[in-house]
Amino acid sequence: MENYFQVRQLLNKISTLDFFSYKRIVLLVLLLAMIWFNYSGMGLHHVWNSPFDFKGADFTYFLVYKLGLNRLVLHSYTSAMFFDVLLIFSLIMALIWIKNKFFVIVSAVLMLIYHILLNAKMGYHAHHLFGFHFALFPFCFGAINALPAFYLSRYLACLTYFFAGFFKLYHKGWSVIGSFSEIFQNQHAAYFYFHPNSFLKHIGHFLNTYPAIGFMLYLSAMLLQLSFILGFFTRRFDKVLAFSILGFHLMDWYLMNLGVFMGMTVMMWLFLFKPQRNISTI
Amino acid sequence: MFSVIKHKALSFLKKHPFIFVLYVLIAFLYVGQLILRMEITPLGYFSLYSQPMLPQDAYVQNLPFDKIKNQPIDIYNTAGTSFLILEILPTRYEVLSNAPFCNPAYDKLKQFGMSFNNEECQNLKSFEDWFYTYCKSRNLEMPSREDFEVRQCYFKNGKLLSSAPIVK
Repeated sequence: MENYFQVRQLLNKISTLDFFSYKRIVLLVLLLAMIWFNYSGMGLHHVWNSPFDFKGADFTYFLVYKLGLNRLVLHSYTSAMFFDVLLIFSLIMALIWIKNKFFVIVSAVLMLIYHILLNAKMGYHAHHLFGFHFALFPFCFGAINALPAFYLSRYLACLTYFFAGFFKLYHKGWSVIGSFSEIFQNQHAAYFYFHPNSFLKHIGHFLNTYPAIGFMLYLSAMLLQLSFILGFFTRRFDKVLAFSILGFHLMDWYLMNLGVFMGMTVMMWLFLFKPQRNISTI
Repeated sequence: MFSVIKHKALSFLKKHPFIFVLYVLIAFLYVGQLILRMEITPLGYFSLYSQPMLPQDAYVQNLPFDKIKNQPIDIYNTAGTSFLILEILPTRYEVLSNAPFCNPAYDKLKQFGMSFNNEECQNLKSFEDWFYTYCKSRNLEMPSREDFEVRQCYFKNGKLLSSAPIVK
């Protein structure tokens, strides 16, 4: 019972943080994520000369290629390295001058270019770090427009997670009991070979023995994602949705080994911030 | 109902014209991409794992391969989350190599008037050389270039059943 009240107290404290406190948190998470990506060989200077030059059927690719940004940024190792450093530097500057919008806008634009070019050079169409853009977007505006921009980001986050659940429902991933256990084996096939005594291997064995548990996990993830439709109609469940994001990405990390998406939990702020109390401080 | 929405939209337009335009632009972009059946990102992203998967005889993964040791190279012993990109690159190499003009979105892009040549396919020929250098930069334990290949590896229950060069 005491723990329950402590958690409630912590939640209340989080939800009374002001706009600039959230801005600090978001920028810090993005900065750490970019440092981590560069450490993990995901900087543009790591892949600038990759033989892939993938163009997806998406408006953002048209824009980047028409503007020739790919040729500019990925001209050489030095230009790609300069871009990576510039992105990290702009995030640091935005953190230092927290009340200034300029560096946030620069960071947001550079972040978008980074993701599109990384996708092109990985040959992979996945705006898998869209959460960073959504989380950063409201900070690009001043007092008048920050609140509607915040709601736009919040709606886009709801839309994305809802459709994640919707596609699972529509493509009937839930219709085969052993499906998740098979997905799990497929995802970690090579990992099991290299690390036969790992924790993941034990989970794999467990899910193979009890596929119904995997089915329940899959179903709960789908329902969790579908529940984001509530976010369009009310803010009453925002705390639940915020911690759904955390829960979902933690599971994604532990079960699917997709720790790289943990950064997207930064979108939680869109569901924890209470603008009616704090908007005057922007 | 409609008049309430209209009234709210108009008052929003008056108060925040710039954001209103953004709302409309994004809505058009999403709906437009949906109608034109383009890749609707990021909506489509989490469609990952949405298809049911039936039991397989073996699970395939494209991996860097040491021909001398006759086994794949452990991509999971690298800094940070490098293994993800080391998983994605050879997988996409296979997908792109087998697509018309080496672009899986070729049909859609052609509809939008984009032209293609064989340049992208020519570039892909250097993939293994580039990937070898990339793996080395990630501090993987690598054989010599001659003994290195990207292969499709077939696994089951943590065992390597067989491996084969990527079919193009």
